[in-house]
Amino acid sequence: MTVVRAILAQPSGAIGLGLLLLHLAAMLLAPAIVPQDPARQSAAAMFLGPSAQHWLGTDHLGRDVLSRVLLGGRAAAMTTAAAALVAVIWGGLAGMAAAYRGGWPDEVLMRLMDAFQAVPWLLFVMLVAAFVGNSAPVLIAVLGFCYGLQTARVARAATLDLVARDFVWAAKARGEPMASVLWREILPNLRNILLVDGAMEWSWMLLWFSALSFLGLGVSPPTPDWGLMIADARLYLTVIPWAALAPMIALSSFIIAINLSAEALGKALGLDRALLRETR
Amino acid sequence: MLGFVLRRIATGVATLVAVTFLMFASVAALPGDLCAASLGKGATQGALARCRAEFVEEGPLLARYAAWAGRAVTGDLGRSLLRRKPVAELIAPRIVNTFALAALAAVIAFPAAVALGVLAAIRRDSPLDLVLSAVTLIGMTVPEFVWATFLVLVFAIWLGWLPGISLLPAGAGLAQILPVIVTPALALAFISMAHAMRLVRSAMIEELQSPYVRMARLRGLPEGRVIRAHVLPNALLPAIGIIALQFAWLLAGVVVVEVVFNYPGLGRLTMDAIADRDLTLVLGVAAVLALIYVGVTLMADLAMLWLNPRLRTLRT
Amino acid sequence: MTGLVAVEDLWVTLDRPGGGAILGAIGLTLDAGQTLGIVGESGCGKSTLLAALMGDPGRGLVARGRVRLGGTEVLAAPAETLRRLRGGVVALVPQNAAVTLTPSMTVGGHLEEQLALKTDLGRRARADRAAELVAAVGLQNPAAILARYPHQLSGGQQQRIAIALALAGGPSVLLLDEPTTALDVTTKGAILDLLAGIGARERLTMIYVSHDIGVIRRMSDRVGVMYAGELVEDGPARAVLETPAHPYTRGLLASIPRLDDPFLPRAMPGRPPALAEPRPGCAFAPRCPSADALCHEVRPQARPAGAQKVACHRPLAGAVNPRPPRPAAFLPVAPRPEAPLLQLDGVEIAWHQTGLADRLRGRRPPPTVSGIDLALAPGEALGLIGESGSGKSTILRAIAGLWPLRAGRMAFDGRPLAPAILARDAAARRHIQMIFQNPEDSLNPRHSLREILARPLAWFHGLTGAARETEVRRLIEAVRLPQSHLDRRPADLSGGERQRVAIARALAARPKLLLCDEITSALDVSVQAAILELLADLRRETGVALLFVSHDLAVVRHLADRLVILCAGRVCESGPTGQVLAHPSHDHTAALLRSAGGWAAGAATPA
Repeated sequence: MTVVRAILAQPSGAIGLGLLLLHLAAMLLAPAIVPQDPARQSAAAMFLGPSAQHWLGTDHLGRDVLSRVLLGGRAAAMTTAAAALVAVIWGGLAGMAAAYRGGWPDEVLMRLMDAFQAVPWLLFVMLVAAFVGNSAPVLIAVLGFCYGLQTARVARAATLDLVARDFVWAAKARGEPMASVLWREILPNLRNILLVDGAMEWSWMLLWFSALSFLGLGVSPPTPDWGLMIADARLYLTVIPWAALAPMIALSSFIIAINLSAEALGKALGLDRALLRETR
Repeated sequence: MLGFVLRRIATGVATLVAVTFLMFASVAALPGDLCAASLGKGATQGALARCRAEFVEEGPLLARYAAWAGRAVTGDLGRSLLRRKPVAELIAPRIVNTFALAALAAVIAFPAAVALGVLAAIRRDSPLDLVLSAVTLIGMTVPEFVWATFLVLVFAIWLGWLPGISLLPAGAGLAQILPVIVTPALALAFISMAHAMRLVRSAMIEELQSPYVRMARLRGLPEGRVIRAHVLPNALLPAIGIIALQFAWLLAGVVVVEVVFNYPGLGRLTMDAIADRDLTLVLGVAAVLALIYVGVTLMADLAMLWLNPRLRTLRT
Repeated sequence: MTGLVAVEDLWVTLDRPGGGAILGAIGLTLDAGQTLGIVGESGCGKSTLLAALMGDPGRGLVARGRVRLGGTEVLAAPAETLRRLRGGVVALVPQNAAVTLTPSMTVGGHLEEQLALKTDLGRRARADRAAELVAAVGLQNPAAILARYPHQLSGGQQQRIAIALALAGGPSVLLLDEPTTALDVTTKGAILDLLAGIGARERLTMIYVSHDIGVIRRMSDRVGVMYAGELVEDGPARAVLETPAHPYTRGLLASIPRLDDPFLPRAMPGRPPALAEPRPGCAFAPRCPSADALCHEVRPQARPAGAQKVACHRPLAGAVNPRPPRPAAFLPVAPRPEAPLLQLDGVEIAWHQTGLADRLRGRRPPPTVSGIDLALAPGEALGLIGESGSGKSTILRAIAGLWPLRAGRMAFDGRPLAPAILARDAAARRHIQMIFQNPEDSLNPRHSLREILARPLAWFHGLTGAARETEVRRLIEAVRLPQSHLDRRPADLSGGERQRVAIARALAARPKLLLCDEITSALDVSVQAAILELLADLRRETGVALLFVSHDLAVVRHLADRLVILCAGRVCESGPTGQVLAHPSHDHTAALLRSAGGWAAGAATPA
């Protein structure tokens, strides 16, 4: 497809997409290719450095680091991908409808968006995770909701722009109702923006998801997770640095990969950079 | 313009109310009541009864919120469920510590961000720009705790220059903080600088492509003068907004960093409060953080209003 | 090369391997004190020419050739030389002054800076000179103006300041890039007078670029015509405009609507080639009625023909043929005794919605138009004229159901017409259709033409499948576009083609009334003629009534049976077209007539 070609034509895009495919391949194949059982603890094998048997050494419970790293991204990637989908759908619809409708619904949405920017919403997420539980559906819902507000901002701005254009007026002049105008006229023009924004959000969500895991509020053990691994291993940095470094590199490279790919996708689709949020 | 200012202040107050109400309602919506949620399943009936007598209020949500808000405005944020002290008393010393941390990070990060962002924009697509872009990318995508842990690894363990995890007690004062503030500040500063620099660069590039900049050059003005007198004043205006948002972001990032470094600040308190399920404390901390955010953005907006000739001369 | 401005063999090409040419083989000389007017349609490269003359053709473009200003070579000059030349020897007055003034600097700041860097005056002298310049461009109260920021000035004031800035360095050459295009009619005239006066007084050499032939005629001693990046004709103004030698010039002049001409302007077939497309032979050959094999193969060089220079293998001679007595596309419709199709009574509309603050203060913003009474008979064509901001477009939107009324009533086909589109019945929605001004905006960029035309067919007539496809094809043919276009998207079409699609879309509903909101204003003059022709033909075929809004009398004149003139938010004149134009009873109408005229065969500059 021409879009993929356009992405690969950019050096950052090529790097990003390549890294991303590598990670995704590793995640998909991990259960088949892990050298050891990631959950197997062994008193005899604790605190070991890299060796032929354990390429990246073992952690404080004697588990093989490499195996855990290979599997450590799956839960995070899937949960955040689902949350990104939720965010794009709910945020896109809300932003679109609010911008089109104007008036009170729009004001309410904007206040909500402002309020959530003001809450150190990590706090909010932490609260929910701590009290309601940190199962996947809860995390997907709350992350999806919070980031959805950011998507709503983008969707709203883009829709405000589109609504002023004459082809939308032409549809209104036909007597088409709001749902019809949004679906036929506006959404096709928002599709690319939402796609790129969704991809970007996936990368930001991974950041916070791993922070949650780090704080003990995300994935629960014994599921291997990079954030959790880093939290555990940082107490033993002097002894087994690789137990922390490996998941750190894996996590960072995955986020960078998504980020670069999303940005390259944006450029390939010819999107105006100003419309894309650049911060978390 | 006065109308504009008043509207802006009103919006800020409304946001504050919205946020605190949201938190209040969330806490109220948790399964069980305040005490059951906090003390957990293992609480004795007596403990629950004592707790409820002191903390649980009856009445509709809005009334309870109004009462809480009324007290909060006077500085009374209630009492901590578990620590037996007024919430305000627990928060106060922490604010100073966290503020010092954020301020140090800001002082390191923002001047650098502005300077580097401007430079990167002027020398767009040069090797310098590419290097800076790579640096910002890393700064933005690497999670704080990763970065912080990495800093500890490098500076405390490999190089031994700075202390890593600090062992300060909860209520440590400013003087004791100073030696251990550097590493967490660096962690925060780097990330903050990365975000801010990117935005400054974008703003600068956009101004550089404006028709009025081209016209200034076509009038025969030297490039240095064009940048100094025509581009910068217009490009740096949004920089203020960027910086304000970054400062607000620091409040969120501070939680993770404080945990990593065991720093006795507001973020650590938040984490502890949530871990302990001390809900009144959580509510109090959230309110304070929201207040700081709203205050900072309000001041930034007013500053932008004052500095932007277009807005300053607006008749309401 | 002699002359104050001397250009020889100037080429501007895209800065990449195999890059095509934006400007080709431009050569001209201009002596001190002369004004050269360059006329051409959008995309002909005239703005690029001015930019190249200043040494900076633009991003991604590279210039080669020879350009000398006052004896100094401009292209490939070192940066210091260019900096000295700009503002000091040659100055540019840009098209849109609003965006070319630095928002953070006051007017006084701009002038002070320019004077400090371009003159040797001391501080006090500079302050005096700044005030002098502001007064010289016709602005009262210089002290107040100097203290203001650009956004605090009106469009006309901004343009005057741009002129003052250009003059500050004491240049001998002034380049003007359509500086009056964005202004309304009265301001336009004042600025043109100002420029002519200053030019004469300071003995400036000016190059004035525009697409408006009336303006060019008014300002220029010499005229150059540009087409597809080339200077196809160049000579004394009178010679070029009255006895043009190049077929394009003739075609262009013939396609302009003229107030004194009772017949429709004649459109030129085809459209200009895409910029930077390499092509053998003459760029105009595909559209030229007198082109032969040589024209298609060999690029013509500029050579003398009569009093001017022409780049043509077969230049024409003699005066412009009077337009053939092509019958008007319609005959004026006598008012019919039956009930009017559309009726407006005492309609009042406001552009600004009443906001919360206004409501609290108990006052409402003044209405944009009020007391509007209008009646349109079935099949009639009514022209609604007014300046920009007069509210004419808002009236159309209200009729279309897209804008609320503050007061008054509307009736359609004998029944009351609800102001809100969603409150109207199916018949009313179908029979009133609107065509919008801006072809860029009026079609959904993500829909193919087929989808755009299919939608109203499905919506209004419930057509599906083969029946709908047949109808779509019929529509596209009715607006004279090829069927192959149906699978394309709007971005692949030119402005004129998009407007045709917009017309087809409106006709799909088989309406009784077509509302046309300045549908030709965003188009080039030659394309405009074709659209007007199309509209006139369609009207004859379908008997649809037209309510046609414009600010240009000459355009509306050919289409409208009756005219309604708006001024200051009210109807100030209405009546049959011929009568209103011949005997205007209102001052405003008379003023409009004067500025719309600007061009009458054989006449000197209009009074």
